[in-house]
Amino acid sequence: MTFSFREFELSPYIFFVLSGMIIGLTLSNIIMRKKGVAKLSCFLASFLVAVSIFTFTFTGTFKGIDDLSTIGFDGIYASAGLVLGAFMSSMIFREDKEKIMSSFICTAPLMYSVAKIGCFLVGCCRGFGYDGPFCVSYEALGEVSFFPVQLLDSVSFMLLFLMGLILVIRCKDLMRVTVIIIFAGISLRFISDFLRISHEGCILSRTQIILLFAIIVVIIATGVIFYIGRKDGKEKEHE
Amino acid sequence: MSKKDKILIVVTAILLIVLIGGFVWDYNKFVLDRTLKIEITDDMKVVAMNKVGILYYRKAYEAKIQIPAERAEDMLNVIANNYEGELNIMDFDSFQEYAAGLFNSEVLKPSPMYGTEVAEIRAVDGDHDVTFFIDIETETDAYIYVYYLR
Repeated sequence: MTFSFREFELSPYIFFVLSGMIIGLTLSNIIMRKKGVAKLSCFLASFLVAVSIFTFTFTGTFKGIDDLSTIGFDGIYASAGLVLGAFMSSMIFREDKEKIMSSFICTAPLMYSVAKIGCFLVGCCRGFGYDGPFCVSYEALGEVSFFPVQLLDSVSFMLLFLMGLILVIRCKDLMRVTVIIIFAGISLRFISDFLRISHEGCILSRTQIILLFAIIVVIIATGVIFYIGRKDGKEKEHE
Repeated sequence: MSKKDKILIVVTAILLIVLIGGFVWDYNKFVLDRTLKIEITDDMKVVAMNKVGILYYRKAYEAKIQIPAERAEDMLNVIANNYEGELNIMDFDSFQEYAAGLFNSEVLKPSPMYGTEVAEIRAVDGDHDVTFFIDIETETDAYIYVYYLR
């Protein structure tokens, strides 16, 4: 089985990216509501996360308003925006921090998975040159075919989302679940980067170096959240 | 609405201001005005720009600026006077030969009209290199190509 895509008159990329965001943020809202977060707080937190995603991805990757065809959502910048937005929301609503953080982090792989379908259809973020089963070719790129790394990303992150959703619904220690999902997401992305055409000729790509840096940031952020959690717990005990 | 909701709205507003401020800061004409020693006047039009780096700090860019053909020589003098760089004027054939190996990674490339000359000015200005090409592409329009690298 192989895939072959002609050039689209209207790129489906932005449709999938925005759909992924809307579906993911709506689902986050539903999870937060189910966990008892106030309706207005859910809405405001989602809005903050959406703005944070846009701010990060556009600040990092925007080429220019004069050429809208070059608008790209860099997954790394968007993820950083999502994590920071969720972190800020959870720091503001400290009494619900685990619920808010876990709801957004749980749906992040879903957003990424849906967005990757857009990449798969248009041929960006493509894999290395490959002509085996499931290879993909694009009319715009000529006769060459590629490893379908975007499809692999989409499937693996969808599985991560389902696993994360089950954990968020069933587990009581939501902060631990959040950290597990973040580390699993970073690991999956780190591994899949080896299969990309952009990785050819280097030991570690720029993305992989950023991901390693992200792990350090996550460890520090986790430490801060646990420290604040313990401090809040002690204050409550005193009261 | 609780105090926490209000704090969250303020944080969101700050992020929005950062984003909108980035777009304004990165507006093509403003980038060119900040980084070049030539003025983009009303009869000049920024046709395309390809920018590299984050919104608030572009590491490099390419720009294609349309100018009336009769102003090509005037603009060449302005650039040559403002930048103490190397000036190189090539005829059509020499430019084709010169350009063959030069624009491999560039998105915007000069495309001079057959039989016209192309001027190139290369300069190092402070922390950046800047290269200008001026060519005449139609009977009425000339273009300035700017390649800026910090």
